Amino acid sequence: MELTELQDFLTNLTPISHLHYQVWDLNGQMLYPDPDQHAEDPAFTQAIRGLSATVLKENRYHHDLFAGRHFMSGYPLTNGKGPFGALIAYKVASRPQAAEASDDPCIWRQTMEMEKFLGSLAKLLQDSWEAREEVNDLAEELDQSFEDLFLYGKIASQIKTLKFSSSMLEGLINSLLINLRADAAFAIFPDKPQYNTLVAQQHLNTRYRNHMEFYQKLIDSIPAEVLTAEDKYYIVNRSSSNPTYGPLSPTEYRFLTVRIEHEEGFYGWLGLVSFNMNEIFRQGELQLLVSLAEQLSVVIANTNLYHDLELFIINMVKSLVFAIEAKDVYTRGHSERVSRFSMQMGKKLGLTGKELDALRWASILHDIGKIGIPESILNKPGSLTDEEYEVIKDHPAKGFEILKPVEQLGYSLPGILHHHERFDGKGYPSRLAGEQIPLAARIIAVADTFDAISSTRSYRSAKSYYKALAIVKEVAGSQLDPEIVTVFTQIIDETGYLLEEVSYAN
Amino acid sequence: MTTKTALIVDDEVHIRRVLEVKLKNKGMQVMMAKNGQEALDLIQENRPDVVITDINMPIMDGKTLCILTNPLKKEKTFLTIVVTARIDPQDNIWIQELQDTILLEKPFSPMEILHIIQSYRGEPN
Repeated sequence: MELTELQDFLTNLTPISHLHYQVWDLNGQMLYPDPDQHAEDPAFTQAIRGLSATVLKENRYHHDLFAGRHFMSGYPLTNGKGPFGALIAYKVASRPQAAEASDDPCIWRQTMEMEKFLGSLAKLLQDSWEAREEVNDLAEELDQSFEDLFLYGKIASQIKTLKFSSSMLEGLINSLLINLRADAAFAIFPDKPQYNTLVAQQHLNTRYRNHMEFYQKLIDSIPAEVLTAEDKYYIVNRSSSNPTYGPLSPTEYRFLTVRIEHEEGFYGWLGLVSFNMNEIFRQGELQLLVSLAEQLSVVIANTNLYHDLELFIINMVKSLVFAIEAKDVYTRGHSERVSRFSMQMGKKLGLTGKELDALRWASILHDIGKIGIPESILNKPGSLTDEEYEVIKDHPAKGFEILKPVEQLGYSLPGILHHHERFDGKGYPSRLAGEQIPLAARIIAVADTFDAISSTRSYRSAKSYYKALAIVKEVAGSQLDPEIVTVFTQIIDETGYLLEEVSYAN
Repeated sequence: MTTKTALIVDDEVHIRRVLEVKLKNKGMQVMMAKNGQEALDLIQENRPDVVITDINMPIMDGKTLCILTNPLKKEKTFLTIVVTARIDPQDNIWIQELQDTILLEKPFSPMEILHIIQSYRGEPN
């Protein structure tokens, strides 16, 4: 009970009404004024306690005289459930001598008025308390809504990141647990147990080998009819009154779980467990949990879609590479090797994320345009005519044309189109020079040149890696970007590529 | 531990009430003000341990309040939590200039505010 403001009111009322006021509760405790500061005769206080008990017991107005001269009266304070306190008004007789009740007309004639007055005052106090309590209840309700709203906002921003991951899931479940005042929150994915996530306030069940086991059992025990009916959620309000759920834990608990599912299918369960049996899972919590599960399912579906797409591209690229190599017997493994060298250089040059991805696709597909070149030219032993050479020179542009419709590979096209440009500007197809040439193309050019020299071609046999590296260094600055050649040389040194080759050659 | 005093400054009654109940339940003494001017008077008189204030308010806004009360922190510092629904990147800038002052966005979590107060006072959550 919030008394401060009302205490001031009663205190101020005392000098005008010539009455003292007290408030007693059901346990016979004085709530007002502060008993420590109250200096009335203990016997008088005892008498007032008695009057208060009668008022509370009979739930109506009473009055009496203490020591035959001090007037005291009491009125019950009630709420919807009955009396919760007694409002007492008393008057300390000024005359030292005991007075006959009838001698004090001021009091006895006004008994009726006193009852009315005290009744009104009690009503005022009650209303004020009630209003105060209602405000507090509303504030507490609102407090929870604030938390819910905050959680929605937080989740929405987490969902925006779109990519599903263990850490994203853990963050989400953590905020769920904090905001919904449960003891544990978890997500269980029957088909992808590596993503199972649990956030718990404390370790409560020692019966299980690991903490997750208990929560797994909760999910495993969901009745078959719930599963077949595809209910959105399942709730156990009181484990002790459920024959399946009761035995799972020595401590009583309640449990709420919702399905994480999407048009694509069922992914798993999102759940809450609480050991606090004084509270219940509210509708609002269920709604929040359901909407969180929906959001989560969208993220999972998107992520699956993303992975599917990525896998599709990888497979497509593999089959394209296979197609080039099937045509040109000499280039078997070439694309793979050029890609490996290029990626090593790219990482050393500090490329990250999308740039590195672009380099990966560009390097493995750099010769894709050869698909459009007749095998007779590709595999021709000896030197090519000028005409034939022109056809060969067309392969970067052809590769560009072939892959242009594949939107997802768009960012890797410059690396393919320009991998035969020369640093001095004498290359093809665009005669770009120096830094005008896209970085990916300059990297691929180095790897491509090295691998072409060091592997057998239709027109000549393989040169040793030593010679190949020497030639690459020679053309640094004219054909190739000297800085990238330096990086390439470092990689060859570091990986011991040449040493391996020496022992292999001897 | 001596009882700590908090001042809640917001022109919206529901915000005041929610925070009032939240902090009182944790045993704090709570004062309330509807605008910066009322808050300024209360701060000068009572020196609360925590001030939680809105920015957009009539008579005197929260920014003015924070700037006017900042020098008082030299003597004995206190925590100011600025809670705002407005979107203004400038708010981060002037708040950084002030001592022991942090910015939270609305909708806020009352529980988070409690945690911030507790960790500022070095108490376990």
